[in-house]
Amino acid sequence: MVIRIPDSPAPVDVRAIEREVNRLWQAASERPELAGAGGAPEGLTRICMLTLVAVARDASTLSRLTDVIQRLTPRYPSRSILVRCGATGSDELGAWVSVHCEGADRGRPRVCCEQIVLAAGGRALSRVPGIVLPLLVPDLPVYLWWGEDVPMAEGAAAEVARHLVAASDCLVVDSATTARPLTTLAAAAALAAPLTGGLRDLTWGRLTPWREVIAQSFEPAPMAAMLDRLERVAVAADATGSEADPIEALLLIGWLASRLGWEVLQGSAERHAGGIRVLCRRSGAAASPGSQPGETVSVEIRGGPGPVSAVELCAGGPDPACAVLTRGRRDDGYVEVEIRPGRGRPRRHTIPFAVPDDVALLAAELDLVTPSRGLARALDLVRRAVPGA
Amino acid sequence: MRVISPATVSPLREGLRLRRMPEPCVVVIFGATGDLTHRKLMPALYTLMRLGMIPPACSVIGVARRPKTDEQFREEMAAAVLGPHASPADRALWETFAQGLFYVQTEFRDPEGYARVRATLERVDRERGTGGNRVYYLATAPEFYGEIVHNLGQSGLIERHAGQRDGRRPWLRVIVEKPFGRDVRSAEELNRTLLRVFRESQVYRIDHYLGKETVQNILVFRFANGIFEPLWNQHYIDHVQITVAESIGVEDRAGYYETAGVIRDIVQNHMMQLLTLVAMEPPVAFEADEVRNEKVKVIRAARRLAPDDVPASVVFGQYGPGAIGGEEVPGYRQEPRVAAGSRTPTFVAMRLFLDNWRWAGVPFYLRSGKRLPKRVTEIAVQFKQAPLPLFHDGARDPNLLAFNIQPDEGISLRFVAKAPGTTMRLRPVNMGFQYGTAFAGEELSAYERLLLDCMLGDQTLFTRRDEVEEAWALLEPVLTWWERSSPPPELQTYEAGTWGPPAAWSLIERDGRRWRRL
Repeated sequence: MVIRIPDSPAPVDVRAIEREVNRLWQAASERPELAGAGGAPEGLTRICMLTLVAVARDASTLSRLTDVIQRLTPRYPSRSILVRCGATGSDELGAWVSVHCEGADRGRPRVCCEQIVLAAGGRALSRVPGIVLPLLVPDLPVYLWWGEDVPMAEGAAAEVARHLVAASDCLVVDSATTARPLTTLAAAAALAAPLTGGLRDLTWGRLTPWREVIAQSFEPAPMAAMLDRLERVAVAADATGSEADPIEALLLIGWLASRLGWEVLQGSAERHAGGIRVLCRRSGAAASPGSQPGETVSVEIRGGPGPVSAVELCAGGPDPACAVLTRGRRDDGYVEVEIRPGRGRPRRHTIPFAVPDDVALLAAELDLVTPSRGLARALDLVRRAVPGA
Repeated sequence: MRVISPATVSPLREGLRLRRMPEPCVVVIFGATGDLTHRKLMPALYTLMRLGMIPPACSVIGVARRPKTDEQFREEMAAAVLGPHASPADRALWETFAQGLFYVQTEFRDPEGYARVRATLERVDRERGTGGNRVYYLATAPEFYGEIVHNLGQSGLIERHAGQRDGRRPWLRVIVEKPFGRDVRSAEELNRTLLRVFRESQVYRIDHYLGKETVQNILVFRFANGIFEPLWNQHYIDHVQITVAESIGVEDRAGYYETAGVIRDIVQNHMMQLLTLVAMEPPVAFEADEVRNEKVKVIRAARRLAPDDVPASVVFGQYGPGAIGGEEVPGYRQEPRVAAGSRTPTFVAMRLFLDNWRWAGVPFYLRSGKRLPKRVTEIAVQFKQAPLPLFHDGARDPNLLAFNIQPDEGISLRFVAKAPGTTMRLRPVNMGFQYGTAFAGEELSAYERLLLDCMLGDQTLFTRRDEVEEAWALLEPVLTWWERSSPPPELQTYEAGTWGPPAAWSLIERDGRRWRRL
């Protein structure tokens, strides 16, 4: 059970947010519903592992981020600062504070965290960094979660982004939910380059189960040998009606290519109705020692910016074979793997495939303290592969 | 840092939670119809598969005396693991897992049975690509260990250099459940039996306490933080208390417990492991043998008790009738299958000293018992008092660092603070860290973690031969005093639901200290 004190966030003077937060903690410790057995005050356990700053322009986006952060509290107690940034032209500036407590269960103490909401628009936008910076908890990591395209052009919003990123240890985005995923990722990567934790992308996190099942499928010796002879890779991703690039599928290809030491053939990429086709070449400096340099791999992406739904990897040579991995429905929890040898009957088996929700995705990013090299390499390859990115 | 065997690491694994996936293997469980298989082993193996931490080709051959088909075995295991309310996804995953479950019926002394195990192994290797890799799991009563190991050797099921494949040799490991003997002589005999057939590097003696996060965190806490280790010695630490308390009674284990008692059931294994981790010197590397070298030195440093010293350092007790959680419970002697005049101790409190430079003069108080007020396992490190009592009003409680092993894994530090007000009133306060509230993600259970480590060939969290034998050597005088003195020492009875007999309190209070109130 979540207990929020006060019941809805209380408006406060932006110059006195810290004082109001402290006052709220005192009020919370006197609330009867937080008393221990027999009505005696048991005290509140205030745990803070980091500061999480979430920024969005749109109210519904901020509401979604708020919901995720609140559900994250039991796993990552933190001070959260939610900033609604410049949705309107008015020079509004407001602040609200609240303390929310997760109910004590199974003998665990009740965990309480504070939440600060800021809304700023128009000329007040420029004041946001000056308000947020003193609120960061000293000596603990700061994660900045930008809920939409990170503003890069000149202007007040871009200035806010620049200041907040500079004060953070890590920038988190979700490229699949942005209007221009590749542009957003590239811009965010540049912005986050100096940070100790670098850039994180929840879309990259959504690929982790795919990376797991592909790695697992190609671990037995005969399958591992196929990796050296891959000639064709096809990735299907769900269409969402959006015209945006199929970012999840692209990053999956970028990961596979970077891990197997493929290079994109310049000028080979072409867009066609419903997909992207590109040619890669084994560079010979592969992580996979049996790769033959110079051979090409044909890569095809079908579908839109939605989640990856199927991956087909086909090897040539004297013993050709294909592995087809197909995800069931989102909540099925497994992937069907079919191995189609050149000769003989196909073999099928099932591999667990847990689709993480946004809370699990964000928690996984908060677990890490160093930049994601895998994402950086994959993104680098994708940017070279896709024209116009 | 983990010990990495020379197995190939997939280039696709970088950045994933498992840097290395175990190679496909067959787990052969001797005692497959027993409680351990149903409650711990099969759920652990299934969870590892469900979490994608072992390859789907991993297979299990259950070996036991009851007649059963593969299908019956699969159905029983499905009932044990999934229960009646499994989701369709779980059922689909189980189907894949269950394809790798097989059953061989045999008496453990019957060579023919081992031939059937061998034929099944060869078939599984052929059909499922398990490559000759084996884990033999001895989940039977300990009296069968010798027979099983001997027959494994005789039946050609342990061929150390067989089957070169892709330039790699298949691996073979054996997991042995406690008890590892019941005294020095039987432990040495068991080890000799195992080592006639296996090498020590193939033997994984499992103590599930070592699979718990907090137990592993003792090492991280001590050796990854700079502020505590300089204080971790006789200059700053007054004493250490280790408590392993159970609220349950003997339940359905009376047959075993009557011959074991608390020393063999808890102290020789779990408590010795906790003692070694809290007292060991830093290893030169976090590698299996380096860690275990330091652990065994702790047990060697423990002062052996002469027969005359035992009564002053050890208190045994047995629970009588009482109440736990508001419910009346019988005494030990009233439990089913317990002898009316049983002298089996269900409680022990003892004081140990480690004769080395770090710990000279620091007492380690150990207590463990059944039918205590609550289930709790804790290591408490009590620091010395501040040298000068500057403040006169209120608590002077010394700093105390507590590792809570179960049920709520975590670490807390007690210090003294000023209570708000115009007067200088001091109060002890706790600063706590709990795993459940601080870290995200699904933790592996102890059995899951240890099974995975065994498949990966990492022995760090398993007990080595010399650790086992040294622990028995340390405790043998205590057992001898209790079991062979004439007349027998007095058995102290304590009421179920209390913290042991009054003599246990005297043991520590005559040193000017107190047991922690838990």
